[in-house]
Amino acid sequence: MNRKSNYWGTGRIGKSILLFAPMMMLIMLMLLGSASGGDAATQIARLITIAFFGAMFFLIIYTGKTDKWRAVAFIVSALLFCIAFIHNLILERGSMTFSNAEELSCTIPFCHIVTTMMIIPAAVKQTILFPGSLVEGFASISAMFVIVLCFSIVLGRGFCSWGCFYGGWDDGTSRILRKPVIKKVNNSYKWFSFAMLIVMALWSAEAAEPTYCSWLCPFKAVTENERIIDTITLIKNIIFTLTFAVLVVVLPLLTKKRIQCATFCPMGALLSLFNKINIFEVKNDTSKCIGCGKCEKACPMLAIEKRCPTLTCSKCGKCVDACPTGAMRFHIKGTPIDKHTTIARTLFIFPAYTFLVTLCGGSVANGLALIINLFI
Amino acid sequence: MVESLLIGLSTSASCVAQCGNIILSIIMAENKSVGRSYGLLGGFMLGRLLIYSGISAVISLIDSAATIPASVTAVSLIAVSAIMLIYSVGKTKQLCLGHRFTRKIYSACHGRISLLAFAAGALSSLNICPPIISLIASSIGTKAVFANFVMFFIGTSVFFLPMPLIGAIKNTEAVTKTGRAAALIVSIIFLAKGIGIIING
Ligand code: SF4
Ligand code: SF4
Ligand code: SF4
Repeated sequence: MNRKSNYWGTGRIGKSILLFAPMMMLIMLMLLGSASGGDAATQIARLITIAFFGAMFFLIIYTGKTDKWRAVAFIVSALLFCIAFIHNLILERGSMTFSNAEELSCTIPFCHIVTTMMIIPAAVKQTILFPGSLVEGFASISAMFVIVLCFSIVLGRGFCSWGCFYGGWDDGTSRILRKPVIKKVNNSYKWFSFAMLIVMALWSAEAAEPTYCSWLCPFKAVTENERIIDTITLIKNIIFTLTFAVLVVVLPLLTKKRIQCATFCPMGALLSLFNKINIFEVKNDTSKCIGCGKCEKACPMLAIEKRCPTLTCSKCGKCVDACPTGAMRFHIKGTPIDKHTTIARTLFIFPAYTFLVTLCGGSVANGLALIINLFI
Repeated sequence: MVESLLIGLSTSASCVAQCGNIILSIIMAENKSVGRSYGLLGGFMLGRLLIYSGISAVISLIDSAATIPASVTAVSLIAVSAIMLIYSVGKTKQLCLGHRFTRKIYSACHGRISLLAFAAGALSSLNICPPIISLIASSIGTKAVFANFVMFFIGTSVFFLPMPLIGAIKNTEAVTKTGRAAALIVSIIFLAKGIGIIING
């Protein structure tokens, strides 16, 4: 079977442009709409960002390869997000580190992962514990909740491959080697992230602090972290560095799996639960499957069991790209598996890519502007 | 007594936050039927009740606040950590650090797994938490110290009651593996807490 025949736009320039045009308009709207002025570097950075996101989207449509081009946009977003974020911190408060006093005064921005630790304290203790403002600032609790809720409903765990500005890190390191050094990773390790979700949620309620953020988050190493003033803060910083080095760099490199996202992040586990109610899924049309196992080998999230994607699938499309027969495909629940393949894929990719540009577009442009400024 | 029940009810959520991790991961790791999961919860609760009874007896005798020495708390936390490790790797077939030893203990307890849950409940209660402190404060000088503790125990048990319903979930492999992983994480946390208390004196 000709695998490429699954998709409308594939290899057809006219149809690809037709699908690409509305997304390009959206990208321009998002990146030019709210921003005005700025120095030459900022303007150039904005144009490059628009061209970059537009080109990646076009290639996804035109080549029919979802993961290949998604990953480029996703990884670049993660790297530039961190550069822009750190620069922002240095501008705002003069350093990457924060003090306990700043934490208590609710001036520390926090990310979507912290929401996993807010549910139980909010439900059983009627307390919102965490160091953020309820309504003010770019990372206010209410804004974060709305964003998390929207992407969870629309994408399920698709957020972990199409929106999260951290996920690109281990997605990137897991692609550096051509072949894995550690060839077999037990799929059962994915349940560890669910255990993390349960334990961190309860532990946070007990300790009255976001314990994962305070003690374990690997991304503290590349964003912000607590100033070292005593043994405790020293231990915390050692843990952040170790979790980043081991879970985000070394293990993904050796296994070609996204170890931190697949086995450790509590947010990933929570989002997996939203896959249950999300209409989009990646599914195996078993009538076309020849049982080659390439999908399982390719899956970076340890999500495929017995040739079928399970709860933890992040809809990255890597297995879809890897499948030689086109059996693995994007699918809308409740529709026949062998029909409307292109519609299902297109309908998923549009909101997913829109989320990616919305959440990361601004940071990519800012990060890029900083780099351009280094040269001009 | 009503006041103690109310203290228990109002702090029940804190108790779940404090001890929920332990019993929830035990129930999930064992992944028995709903009925047998209630057996595990029963064992855990009895352990708590035993320690509460002990504290209430001491308060009645000395008629002042009973304190548990930090060293006892530290040792109890480390013991809870060991029990959680047994639940975590006791059934594993794969080779991992200390698995033979923990498997032996687990096998020795086979059929009496509620006993381990009982020990976990008792030992974790030696880690005096804020709700207990407020109960002790309100009990000193009253006549019905033991009854107060029983009422408090009943009040704090409310949030634990739905936990064994997890036994009704069909995907047993997912529940068991998540439970065992959770038991391992809890084990590490309790070990760290215990060592922290020892280091800080
Ligand atoms: S698992 Fe966590 S860090 Fe990874 S992409 Fe998902 S939310 Fe982001
Ligand atoms: S099952 Fe396929 S789409 Fe889902 S995470 Fe794995 S490779 Fe990506
Ligand atoms: S790669 Fe495709 S054909 Fe091979 S096992 Fe997976 S679904 Fe089946």
